[in-house]
Amino acid sequence: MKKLSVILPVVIILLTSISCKKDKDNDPINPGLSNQEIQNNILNDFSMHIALGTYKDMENKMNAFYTACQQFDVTQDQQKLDEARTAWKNVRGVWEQSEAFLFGPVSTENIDPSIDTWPVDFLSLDSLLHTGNSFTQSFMNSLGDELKGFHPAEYILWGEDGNKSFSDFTVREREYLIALATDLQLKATILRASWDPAVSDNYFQEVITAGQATSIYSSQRAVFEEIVNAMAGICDEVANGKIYEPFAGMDPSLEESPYSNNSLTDFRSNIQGIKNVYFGNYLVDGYGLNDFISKNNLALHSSISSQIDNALHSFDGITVPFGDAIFSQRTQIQNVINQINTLQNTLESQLLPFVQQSIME
Amino acid sequence: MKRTNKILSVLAVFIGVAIFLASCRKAEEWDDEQSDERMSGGSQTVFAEGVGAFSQAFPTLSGSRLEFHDLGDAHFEATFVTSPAPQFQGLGTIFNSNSCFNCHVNDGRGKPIRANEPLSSMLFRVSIPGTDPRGGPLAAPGYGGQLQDKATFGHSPEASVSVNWIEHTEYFSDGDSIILREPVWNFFNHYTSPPAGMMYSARVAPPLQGLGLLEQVDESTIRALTDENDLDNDGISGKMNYVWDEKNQKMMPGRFGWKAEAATLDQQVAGAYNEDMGVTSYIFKTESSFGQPQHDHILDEPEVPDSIFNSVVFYVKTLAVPARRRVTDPEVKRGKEIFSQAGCDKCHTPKLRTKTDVTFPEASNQLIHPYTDLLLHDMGSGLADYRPAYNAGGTEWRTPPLWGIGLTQLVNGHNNYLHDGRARNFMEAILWHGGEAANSSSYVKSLSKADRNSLITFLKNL
Repeated sequence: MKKLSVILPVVIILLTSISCKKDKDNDPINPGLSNQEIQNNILNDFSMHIALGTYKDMENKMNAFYTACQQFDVTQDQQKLDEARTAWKNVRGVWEQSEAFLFGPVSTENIDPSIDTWPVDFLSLDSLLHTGNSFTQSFMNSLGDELKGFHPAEYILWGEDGNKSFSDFTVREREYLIALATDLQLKATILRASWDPAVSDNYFQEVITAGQATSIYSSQRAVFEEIVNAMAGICDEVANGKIYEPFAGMDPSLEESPYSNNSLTDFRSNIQGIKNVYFGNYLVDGYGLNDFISKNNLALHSSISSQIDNALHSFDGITVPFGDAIFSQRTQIQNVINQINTLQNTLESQLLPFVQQSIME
Repeated sequence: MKRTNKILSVLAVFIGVAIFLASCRKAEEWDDEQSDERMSGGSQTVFAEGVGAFSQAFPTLSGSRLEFHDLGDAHFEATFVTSPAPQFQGLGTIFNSNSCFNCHVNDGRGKPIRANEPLSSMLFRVSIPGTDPRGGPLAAPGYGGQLQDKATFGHSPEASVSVNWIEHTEYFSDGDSIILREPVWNFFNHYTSPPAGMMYSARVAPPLQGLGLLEQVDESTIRALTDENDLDNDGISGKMNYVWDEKNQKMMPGRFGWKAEAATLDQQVAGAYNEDMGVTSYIFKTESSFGQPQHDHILDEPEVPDSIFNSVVFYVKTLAVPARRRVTDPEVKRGKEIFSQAGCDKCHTPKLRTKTDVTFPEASNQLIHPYTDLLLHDMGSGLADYRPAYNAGGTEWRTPPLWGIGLTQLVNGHNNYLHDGRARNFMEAILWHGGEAANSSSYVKSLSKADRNSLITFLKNL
């Protein structure tokens, strides 16, 4: 009896706190709004909170990465090296989430390859580090994409076997790391600006005015198709490219982020990016596709949300780095591929047609 | 017995009459006018409007053929690196791009150089006066047939390029004006003195959708459109280029590239691997830098395995064409009328039929709407590169296909057209048309603003 009297208030408080927490994503019905109003809100919030929001966060975290590289150059100890590595992983996570919407300037302006080209050109990189060239920005501009971006930075930070010590770094390597971080900062700023309504010629405007004569999108439907195709596209890329190729060939040299052992986090971030887009939630919870789909096709909404979660949770089954798991945990990797393929199939064969049919030109 | 005979004879008469009637009924031809004009690529049309509009596989591809396409897709995007390396070795030593995708961004159209940036999705063909033994451009000593403006670390690019734009104003009959720009290319940092009279021809990367269908247009179909001596007196000639094909080891009708210098997609893709990326294949086994000091002397040929090469060719062959949009919109229909009245359709042929080919069922016997005749036409001095290539003279260019052109902004983020990307919108591109097309561009200049807008709207929805 005494126990119950203790539990009861706890339960009541718990219930109250749950009912008080307003979470729009658990509230599928938007009774006050028409489909058209929801569509407008989704496009606005996608542009503001997902595209611009993610790129802004990436710019901030890229600045933090640059600072960490500089501090490591000043003080070479394990702590500063760890901080630089963590900063790399932090900004990498944001970038991988942004890959769930690879359209607009990131794609048309070739920003993606200049940030994330793989594989690393070891031979050229090693030659470069043994020259006397000063790593100015104009020198960096003269280099090809294969010598710039996340992966050369990863290679320098962790070393080929992933176990580089702070004392192994040469002066040239630290200088090049800073030059890479500077170049990445520049690209992150360009990317943020490309969606920033405060900057002229921004993609934000193209999306929210879709269907008007000034927009490059002839209809809102075209933007919705673009968004869904991008979500399905990253499913395909991660399941049937990034994961499948090293897995099927049992070839660790095909792994994308091997030095940092960050590949599994990369893949998971890609899927997290899909979740962000679908729910319109990145740092700020706005309108997402979920608001439209749950109102008009609850069954489809349930499939998509559970399949996204299944895909995300499927990674929990893998307990060793990806480069090892392609040999020792093949069942678990196959499960990840299956879950992502299931999601991709739903996005392509159900969500896309639904959007095409229910969003008027 | 007798009765049976009678029945039989009656039956025989009936059958005879039936056979006679059937033979009289002329098989009706499918009326192409009845076709759905949205279906630009025939049955290989996709309804796609977005950044991936040019990147869709033929919709009827399936099974192992779709897998082969996907394999080619992955390798089309692969980045090559300096040899030796565990993956994708063989870049350079001199090159224009380290992957197919970096020039053909989203399988689309390249753009000209921008201020303070290296060339990204265009290149320059070079040659010296004269012809090679097959009648093609004569390679420039020390430079070959193409200027490689990049090199792997420690090697010298052949040269660097920058551009100045010269602007001039053109006027429409109603007094409206438009500013056109013309490039003046500057070549500097040559690794060795260029030979006397070296000619340069600027080329942006052309979009790839529907190329496999164009390859399946029969030679006789293209030949029927030629009118080399303008016998019909309409001011439009149109001639076929005839070029050397390395794989087939013979002269064939040219159909790909800005001057129709390639007959087959095998040749086009192998040439791009070799010249653009410095990657050897079974078709072109010799590095483009061979005989030059940049050559790496590594015996790793062919650098791209045959199976991978073939998958990339298959990928390019099986890229679908996006459907036209808003075909029933009155403004689009009006624009289409004007396109015809201006005579644009005399070269930008709206309809072609591919040949019947049981080995390539997806592209066999398709009515397509490519808006090209695949022929060479004199475009006047304004666009001339004065660098002949086989039959193509210095002022002649192949009619580029217009299908999907309205999606360029979405796919590639720009509206730069023509071989060197000088046009910044459709109207500028139209007004650069000279030579055989001079009457057409004059006609467009005489149009009212409303009609000009209709014409542009038509192009935007192609």
